[in-house]
Amino acid sequence: MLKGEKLKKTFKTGILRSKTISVLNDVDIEIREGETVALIGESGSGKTTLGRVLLMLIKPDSGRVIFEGTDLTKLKRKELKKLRLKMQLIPQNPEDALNPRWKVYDSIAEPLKIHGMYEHERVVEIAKKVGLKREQLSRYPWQLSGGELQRVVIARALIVKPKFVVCDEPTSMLDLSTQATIIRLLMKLQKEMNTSYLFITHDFELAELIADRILEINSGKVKSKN
Amino acid sequence: MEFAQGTIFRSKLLNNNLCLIGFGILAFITLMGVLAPVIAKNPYKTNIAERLEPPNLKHPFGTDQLGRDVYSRVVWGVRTTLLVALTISLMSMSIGCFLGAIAGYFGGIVDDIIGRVIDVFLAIPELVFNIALVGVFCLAYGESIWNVILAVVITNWVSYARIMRGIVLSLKEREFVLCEKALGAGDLYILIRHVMPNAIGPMIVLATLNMGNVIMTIASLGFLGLGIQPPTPEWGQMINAGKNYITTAPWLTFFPGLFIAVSILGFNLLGEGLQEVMDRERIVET
Repeated sequence: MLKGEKLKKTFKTGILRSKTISVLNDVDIEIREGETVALIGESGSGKTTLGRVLLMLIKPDSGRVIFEGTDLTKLKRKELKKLRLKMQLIPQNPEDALNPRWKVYDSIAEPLKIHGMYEHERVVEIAKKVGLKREQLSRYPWQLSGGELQRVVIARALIVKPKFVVCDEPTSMLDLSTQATIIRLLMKLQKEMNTSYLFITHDFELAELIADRILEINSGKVKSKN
Repeated sequence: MEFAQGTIFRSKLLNNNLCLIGFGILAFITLMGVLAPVIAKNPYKTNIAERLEPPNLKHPFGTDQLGRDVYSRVVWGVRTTLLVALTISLMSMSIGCFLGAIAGYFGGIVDDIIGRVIDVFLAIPELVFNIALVGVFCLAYGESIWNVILAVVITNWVSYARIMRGIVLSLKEREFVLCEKALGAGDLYILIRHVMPNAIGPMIVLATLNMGNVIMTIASLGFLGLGIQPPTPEWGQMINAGKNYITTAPWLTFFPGLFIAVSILGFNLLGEGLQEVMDRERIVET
């Protein structure tokens, strides 16, 4: 369903932008429909970059990202916008992932509004699915706990019923008991919606527990690990 | 528990002494300006028989060299100064916020161009630049209040643009902006709906603190004879007219000077108070 072929990404650093750091070095990755692929690696190994490149939030220097037969690197903005409905991101820090000036309801409804398909019922339905209470929808992000915020972020990502979701360490900022409930929630929703996850984590045990396959990223190369 | 962010913010504002004092001073001065037709006499009426009278019951701030009532001129001067200062602030804030936000958000060559323009403006002493601009505008378009307004706006937008750029630079790295991109939102939409509303707080603080500077600049230009032209009552220009009598009739310069000082103090206190409240809010948030 989603394939990354020979992906390369370098960043330039230094005062004169003279140093180049190679983050992704000819990465090949494939994610099939409905499966959970865990991507593990140390911090700074390029896990997050790879996730963002697959979602075309960062353009790769070279290589292709093929999603359902379309090469995303060749698409124009408008064409890519339509495909964004099928690919979503759940970022690491839920406290940072929501606009602090927006009520939770508006944040969840945002994807529908951007794509001109807003329906109140859908917002209420997804909120119920992720376990948010109705009165929590009219609150601001700072009035909710970390776990509740992560539920909001999940609701926002899954309201458009995406085919592919990059979960970028979605539980690393949460305490242990909340981690378990959020993971269980993600797994439950995956079954319901038949979504594929790229689950980025540095926790090997967690990866073993939830993933169909485990990939390890190390100095810009991805190897499968089983 | 249902409570809005606004109510908490309001209660914090009401508990901040700086804010309250600053607001009190400004409310008092503004009220004087609004009620000028009621509480003051005609500021243009000359009476040679009563020229250079010291403060007395009939003329609480005395009279000037043409026998005009200084109190009435000072009170009517509130209108001139506040309206002009407010216009300047709003105009420079809009221009500065817009350019700063674009520079910070889009980066690259846009940022380079706007950044260099800002650097050039910062390199020229503000008042000297203002004087030159007013001179040029006067020659080109004749005398008008808009000469002063435009001249000050041209130098004043820079501080807004610089700070807005910095705020937007940090905001655009936040995850909620990244998520918006992942959701398919366009850049302009993200900038207007998500980034700018989160930057507006510090901008309001800056605008309040900046009002003091603007009032000072207007008064300075007036004092140099380049600002708002007589007979329109304006504080800086009143001081200029009174400086020849400073040893014999000090009230001509004292009262306009006092009003300049007090109104600047009001804006600075309010601005600092707002800053304190917002800083504390940020600490609570994180």
